[in-house]
Amino acid sequence: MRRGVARTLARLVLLVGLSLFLALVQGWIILAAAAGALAILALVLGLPRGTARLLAAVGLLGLPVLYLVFVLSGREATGAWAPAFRWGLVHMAPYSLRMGALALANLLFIRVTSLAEIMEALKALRLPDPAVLFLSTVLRFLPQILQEARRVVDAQRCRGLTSRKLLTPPGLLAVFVPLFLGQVQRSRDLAISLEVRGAAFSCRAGRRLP
Amino acid sequence: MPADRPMIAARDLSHVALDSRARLLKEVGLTVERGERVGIVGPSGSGKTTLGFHLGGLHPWALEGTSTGSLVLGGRECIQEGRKGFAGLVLQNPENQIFCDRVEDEVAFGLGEGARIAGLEGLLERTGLAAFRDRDPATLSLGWKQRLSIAGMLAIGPEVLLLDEPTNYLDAPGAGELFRFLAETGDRKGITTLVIDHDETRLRAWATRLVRIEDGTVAADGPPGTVPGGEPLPDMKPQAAPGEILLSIQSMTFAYERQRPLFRGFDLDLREGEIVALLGPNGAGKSTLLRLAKGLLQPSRGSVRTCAGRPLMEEVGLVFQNPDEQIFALTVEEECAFLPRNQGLPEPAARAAACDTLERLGLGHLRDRLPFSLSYGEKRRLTLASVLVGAPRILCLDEPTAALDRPNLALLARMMRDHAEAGGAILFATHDQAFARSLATRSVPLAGAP
Repeated sequence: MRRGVARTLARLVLLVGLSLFLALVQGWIILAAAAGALAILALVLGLPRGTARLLAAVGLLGLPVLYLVFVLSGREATGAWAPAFRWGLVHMAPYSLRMGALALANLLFIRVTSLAEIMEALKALRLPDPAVLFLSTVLRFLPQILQEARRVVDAQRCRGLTSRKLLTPPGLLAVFVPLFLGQVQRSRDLAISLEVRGAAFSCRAGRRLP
Repeated sequence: MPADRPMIAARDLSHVALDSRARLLKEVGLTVERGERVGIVGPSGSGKTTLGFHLGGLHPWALEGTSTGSLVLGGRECIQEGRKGFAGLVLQNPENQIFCDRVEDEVAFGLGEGARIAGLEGLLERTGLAAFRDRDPATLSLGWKQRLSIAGMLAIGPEVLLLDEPTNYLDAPGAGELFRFLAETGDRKGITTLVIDHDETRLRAWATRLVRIEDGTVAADGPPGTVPGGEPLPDMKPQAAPGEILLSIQSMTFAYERQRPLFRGFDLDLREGEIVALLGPNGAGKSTLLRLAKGLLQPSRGSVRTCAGRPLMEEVGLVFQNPDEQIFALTVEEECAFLPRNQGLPEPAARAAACDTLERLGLGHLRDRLPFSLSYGEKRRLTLASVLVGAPRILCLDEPTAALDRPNLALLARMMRDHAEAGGAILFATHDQAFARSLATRSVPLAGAP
């Protein structure tokens, strides 16, 4: 196995291990420490400023809705409103930290690993081409989707959408629908471009992925 | 293939779309010889792209519908199964079709295993991409991304190169450079090149043949000089003298990177009745200036303010280039009423304002239509309506002419002039110098960061 492939596989194993750890670990102190360490690493490695800001903004703006969901769950669990607020807070904190840390871990992986390295490593694992293509496309286009989300939010801000209204169903739709349709168009363009260039989605015919 | 046979021969070629059952092509007959440079022009929705996909043998993968008639590509009948590898396809947004994160990998993608090492170097050299081989395509300018897309398609060794609206995202020098590159590449390799574009002036200078499509049929076909159309817009500048200052930008400094300020001590006054064109290459800061004028970005020094003292967000309207990045509602009326609703207008008043604006922009009859089903020109007008409904005196437009056909261009010019003559002011960023000459009362050239 080539050294570059081994290095990427090691990073992949680390990412998967870290993701599993973050998904399963209990206790907000450990999660906070992990999220803090990843944030420091992100600062040192220099995540693109726009992406970091957007992630922080989306995370913070989503907190009130998230808290509401947890409070409602707390009402179900405790049967009363007063303890539901504390219950919501206690359960929301580790959840938010877990999600934030997972997002950071994945972004850091993309930051330090090129798409070609990821594809080479996945192929070394003998994954089928369609799976390699699917996984690498998701990783490759995440930063561009974030950029596009920012443009859509700006366009809707020009039409009076404020951060408060962004959390209402019409506000969410105003951002989600153009973003979703933009990705459909992008995937359509990309699919035809790959197909024209002979990328095979079946192992029986056509050119395999490079 | 014998040299005397045409490269492409279409006879009675028709295409019916699967969803709308509309006949997008109606018994088209067309023959294209090897090495020809063909420009395909016509209004939005006339069937240019549908025809292009057929001529490239890509219709089974790119279109959903039924094709009938005869289509012979490189000597082989391809009406049903198409012909993969016959044509390379370059779409309008190069960012949507670049897959790899290294220039070299992107070019190599289409080369077969055996040809990869032998062909790659030559292709990188010929396309001028050798100097960028290790770069991430995301860091290239749009012009170079477009060139990378073309190189990726040349790698498959196509007989035909099909480009669909390739200049939409390019500045004037970038578009000029693209056509020079296409001419060189086509001549050197004998590739037949088909370009679908709205910019007829540039297309006429490049093409050896122009095909005008109208309502799914070939309306004219011949050397560019013999095909009518392509006249520039007449002079449409507002006649009244500029009035009071509406927007004032003073000693403004702004930078994305601290060491490379995009604007340093920049001044601009926008007066009532003025239409000001912002000109300059990609990256010169045209869109950034519009965002600063709207208040989406804040200058690090200096000021951007309206002279009425109202917040920029309320007084300035900004229309973005791509309508698909803002359309979301189920009807045209709902889409247009989004802004007045957000401004806190009661529902009947919001709807009345939306209907009134749609009528004014010639979209009243479409108010119950699904916005996504509109033509591109109609979508652009809808996005303009959905900002004008807030009655901003200052209107900022980012590349308003991109991908617009001649009738929509004339309509846009009239709307802009009406807005200025009604006491408003317009600041617009454009690569279209002819449009700026016919409409703008003055132009501001921007150079960008040093």
